[in-house]
Amino acid sequence: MARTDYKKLLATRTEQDFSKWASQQHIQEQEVYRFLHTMKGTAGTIGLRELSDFCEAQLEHFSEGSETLLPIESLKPFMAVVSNSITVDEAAAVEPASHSVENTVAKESFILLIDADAEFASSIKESLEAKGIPVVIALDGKKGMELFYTLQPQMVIVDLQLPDVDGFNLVNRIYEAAKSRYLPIAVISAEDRIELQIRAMEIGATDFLTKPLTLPLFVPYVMNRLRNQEAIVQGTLYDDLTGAGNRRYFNDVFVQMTSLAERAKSTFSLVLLDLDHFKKVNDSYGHPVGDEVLRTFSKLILNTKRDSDHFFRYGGEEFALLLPDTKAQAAVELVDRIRADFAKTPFSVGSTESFHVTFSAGISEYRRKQETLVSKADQALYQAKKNGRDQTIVYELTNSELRRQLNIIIVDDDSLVRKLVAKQFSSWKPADFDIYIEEYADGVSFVESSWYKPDENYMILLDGVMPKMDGLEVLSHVRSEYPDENIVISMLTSRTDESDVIHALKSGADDYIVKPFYAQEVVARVQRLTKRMFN
Amino acid sequence: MTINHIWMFSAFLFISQLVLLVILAFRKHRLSAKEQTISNQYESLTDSFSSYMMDPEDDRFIHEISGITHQTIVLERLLNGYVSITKGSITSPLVARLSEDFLTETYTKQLAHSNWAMRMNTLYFIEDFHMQSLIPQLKEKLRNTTRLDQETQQLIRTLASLNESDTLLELAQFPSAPVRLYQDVFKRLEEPVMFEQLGAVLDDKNHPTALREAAISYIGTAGLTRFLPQIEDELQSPVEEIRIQALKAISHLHYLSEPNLLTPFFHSSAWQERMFASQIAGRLQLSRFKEMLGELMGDSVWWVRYSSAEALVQFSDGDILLDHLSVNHPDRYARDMATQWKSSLLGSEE
Amino acid sequence: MHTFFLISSYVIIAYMLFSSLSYVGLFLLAFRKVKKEDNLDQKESTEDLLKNQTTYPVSILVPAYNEEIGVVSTVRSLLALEYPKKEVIVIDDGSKDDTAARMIEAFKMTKIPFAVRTHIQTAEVEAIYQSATFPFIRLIQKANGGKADALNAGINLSKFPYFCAIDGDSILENDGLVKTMKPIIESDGQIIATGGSVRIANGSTISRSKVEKIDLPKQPLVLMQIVEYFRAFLIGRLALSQLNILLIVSGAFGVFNKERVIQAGGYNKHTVGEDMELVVRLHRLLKEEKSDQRIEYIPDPVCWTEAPESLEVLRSQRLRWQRGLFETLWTHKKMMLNPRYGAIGLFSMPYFLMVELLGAVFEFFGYAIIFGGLFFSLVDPNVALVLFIVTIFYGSFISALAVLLEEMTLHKYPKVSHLVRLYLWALTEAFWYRPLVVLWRIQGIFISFQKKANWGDMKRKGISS
Repeated sequence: MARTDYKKLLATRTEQDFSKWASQQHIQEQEVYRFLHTMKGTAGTIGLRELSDFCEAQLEHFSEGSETLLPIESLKPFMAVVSNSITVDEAAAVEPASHSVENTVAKESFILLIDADAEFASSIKESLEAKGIPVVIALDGKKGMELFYTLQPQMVIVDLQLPDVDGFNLVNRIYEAAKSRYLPIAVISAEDRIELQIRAMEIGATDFLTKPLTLPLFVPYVMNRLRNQEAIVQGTLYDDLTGAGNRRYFNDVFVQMTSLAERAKSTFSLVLLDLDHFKKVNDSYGHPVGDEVLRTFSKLILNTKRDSDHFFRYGGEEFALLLPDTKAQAAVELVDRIRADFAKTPFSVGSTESFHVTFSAGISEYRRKQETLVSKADQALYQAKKNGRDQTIVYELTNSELRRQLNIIIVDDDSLVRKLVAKQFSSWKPADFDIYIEEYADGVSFVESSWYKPDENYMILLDGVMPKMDGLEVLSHVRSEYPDENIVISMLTSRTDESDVIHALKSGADDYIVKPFYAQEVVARVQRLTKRMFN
Repeated sequence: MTINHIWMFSAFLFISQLVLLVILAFRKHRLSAKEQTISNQYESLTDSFSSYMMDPEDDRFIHEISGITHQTIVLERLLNGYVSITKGSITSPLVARLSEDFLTETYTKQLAHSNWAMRMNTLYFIEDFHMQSLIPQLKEKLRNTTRLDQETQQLIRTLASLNESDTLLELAQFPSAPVRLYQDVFKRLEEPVMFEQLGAVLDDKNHPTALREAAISYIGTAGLTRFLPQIEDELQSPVEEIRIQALKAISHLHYLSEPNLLTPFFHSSAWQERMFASQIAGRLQLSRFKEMLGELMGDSVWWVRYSSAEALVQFSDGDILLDHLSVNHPDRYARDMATQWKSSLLGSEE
Repeated sequence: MHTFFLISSYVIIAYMLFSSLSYVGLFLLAFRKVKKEDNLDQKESTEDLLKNQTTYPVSILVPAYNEEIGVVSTVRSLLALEYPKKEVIVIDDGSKDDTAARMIEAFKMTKIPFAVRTHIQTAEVEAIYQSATFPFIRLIQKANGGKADALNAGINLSKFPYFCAIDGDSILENDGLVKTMKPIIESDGQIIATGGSVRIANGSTISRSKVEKIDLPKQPLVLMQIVEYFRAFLIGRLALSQLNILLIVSGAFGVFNKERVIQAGGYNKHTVGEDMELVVRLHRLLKEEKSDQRIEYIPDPVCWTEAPESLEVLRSQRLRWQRGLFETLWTHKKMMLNPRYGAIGLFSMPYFLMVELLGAVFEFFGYAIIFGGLFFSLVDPNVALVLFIVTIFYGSFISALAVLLEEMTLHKYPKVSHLVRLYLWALTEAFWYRPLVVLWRIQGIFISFQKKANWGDMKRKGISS
């Protein structure tokens, strides 16, 4: 009686597995082995002979009981083969006439749209998200700058007319940082005077678009720019702003070092460095000064480190050092030398005021068959921060209980929504912190509970319309009673509540998710939105 | 008839009312108890349901749902909730599997139920859960219908949502089928089938006018630029409604390959054609028609005057033109219209 | 003298029995349709219209006179309405308070010179504003001209083919508009006006256009009004609507076809019952054109209103209603019993005249004779007794029946105790509430003759939290 499309089911399942993998950095070898084994069997049964053969061949490269951690990056090629061979026939059947370049862009892509016209912004968000491109909206320049630095979008779209700053001015301010990430900046304007267009190009905008946008053109245009950006970033190894290696490069070197250490029976150390109170620097002196601090810090390290050491920008204000043939103690000495030098480096604002910046560091040393080097260094770093910053901590077995955590709070009167969202998060197991999920059926019970602890981080998903106390009231309560930096709030709304959305963004929501949503997409957004709290 | 009879009759009426009250109160009590049970069962199943929808290997849900008393209603609510919360659920194999495993039989019966509301709800749910397995039953039902009532209309929509391409032809059997319903069908068909059907309808001029109107209007609202050549052809159609729909669609598509195609419409005897022509001239910024728009500001129909003024406002020198017309136009109404629009660039919405 | 009273008694008894029976008959007519849609999943049946671009857009008109307290929250609640395309037009009818200023401030409104087509002459329009946050909200500032005049100005400015008018003291449920528009859309425009029933909000909790909890109010006076609404809507309106002879969309929430209303000449400025008068005029237009378009009434409650809680306010409301009814019937007296107007002329008009307008007169005499008969032997005590029984029958039993019928069909009040309470209170109607209302209605008739303009004031508590 049941007529089920097994192939489709398999594709979905596989995609789920892969997105689970992608959310982690590393994966145990035995898990890969198990996956391939199952896939070989399944593919054989449902007639995907080639795939089955491929899996069989791949199995030889992985050992069955090994707990060795493999970086996901290194698995990408075979993951691609598997997904393609499952989905290829289907795609061919559905879209025979499509000659376009593949209509997908990297899952990670985010677009930041800075536009005061909330209705316009939400309609753009709607059409792009329909094509799977997440959009975050800022209604004014200030919020735009903040989101630009915290979310690190893959593309920025700026309206020239903003309530608080001039659009050109804003483009000017983000241009340097954007350039370092090859970020396309599109300027949109209701006016298309040629002077404006010239000016936009002069200050570094990638494109100039006139309102009203032609949507059928706009969507492929955005896709195109995103693919471009992705291709360029894929090809680069260094961070343009600081000259340090980028995260991708880090992953490569890290894998190399691990296998080298494994073969040569040598050791190496990983240092994670994080600038203290960096957000304050940005907030009080502005992002250009912040960028200057990052550059100076990097220059200092690049000058101090040995030639064989590798230096990377790990995320926003977080850096990493990979020190070959170095024990933890030697690493401490190097870091402390850097610390002393950096403490002597003054930064000036204008001609009079000057300030200093400190950093914290966490170190972990590689030992045989050890999998969690990064998360250990990260825990040590966290310990350093907790102990009062401006210090170096080496990871010891004893401080293992000190895991950071992210509390995800779901407030929605519909129990099905709560459960569906919560279940999605259960598959997210980040290496460097733990996830706790709490659910509340209404605003009152959430507000009255003692959910808040100052040391912890929170992601609140808030339903807009609820009985008793609605989402907007909860939102303004949280924003007025608690600090901003460790609480991220995203509203869950339905498409018709346009006025609520605007109201919510103005009252301090960081983002909104429109029902109906792709459950996986919610997780991806949350990962992106909470990233800044763990960098 | 004595006073006693009247008393007795009244007492009888009163007592019957009381009996009715008791029956209704009892029914209400039972219904709300039932509703309570259903919502308890629903609440208790949300957890295993969500797990199952995430990872069907966790099949606790299948066991739990099999063992409850209000299986159909609870599953309906869960699936309906899932479908309305999550995107892409139309193609979810899990929704299809659950609904087909547990609801096919029940729904087959319900489609023939004597209660109209029950049949309607079933049709809605079949559409929501995308239950392909019921296509034969639905087609059978459609074959047995002769009237295009509310139920048949929903039946047509449900079949269309299951991507049944011959729904259009079935619908065309009803001479009174409204444009709106044809549009509903187009909206539900999935892409390759929808394109084929639209193409077929545009190519064959013998289809009912309502169907052709619906196709043209759908192309406009959905922004399907690929059909532009056919739409432009329809501007020559002998049927006025078709021409008007084609103009409307062009105004939506924001594109016209040859602006001169528009010229005859400014002199059309149908005011709607003049109105849409003005509207298009404004939207596509066709400066060659500026003069024509100025003339139409003095049209006898208010809507034409309004649209031509609105169109002029959209040109970069619109304010100058209107300023000029507000003084120099020979027609008094045109001068009034120009004055009202002159500085109202703000007032043009959307 | 005795004979006169005796004959009067018989007439009144006959009248009441006849009305009661016609009530029951009318209800049976409507029963099937209501029952048919009873189990229909409301969300499912309107879901598609909400997503549909071809769903006709609607202009919502909000006439406001000295409403500075409530106007912003009324408009906010309209924003929450689920409907694909709508515009909101607030008409400040020459308020003496800060109605316009509140709107301008809350929605960041700026003055726009907008071309307005004057379909219907109104008092002078002074300015038009548009909101920067929600461009579909506009405000008309005009010289005072009364509610009908304000609505006409709103019609002139509105862009869409259908409009509805919202009172400041009503809250529309968020799916109310789509429910009311549904018959119009599904008839492809053959229905030119629809009305949905109104519920009394007192006692229930409504927040942001969503009914959270339905409950009964405590005050007997309001409870009685709920029973009265059941009686009027379930028994009267539905059946008349089925026969296409419904005269009143009044006291209900209605959507109108703009073009038709303009053809009919818009709202009438010279009556306090402008909504009823408009419906009668539309009927007249349809009949005179021999059009087969219709006016329909849907049983679903879509709109919530706050009922008066004090005798004073209730009284002035009833005086106003009675006057509106009188003026409408008077204006269209030509239709009365005129076969040219079909069932409207032959049935509806006399029905409204005899039952809705003059019913109070019969009842008044009935009460008088019962008193006279029992205490001053003006009539045979037995006759008085029969009259007494019939009065209870007419006043209490029919109302109690209406409560039961509501439970059989719509059953909107959730608890068994609600049903029992409403039933028991309905039984008391003939003893206190009905005499009160009868007195006011008689007074209303007198005042109508004097034609004193007097908008009933209503103390509003505000129903949305």
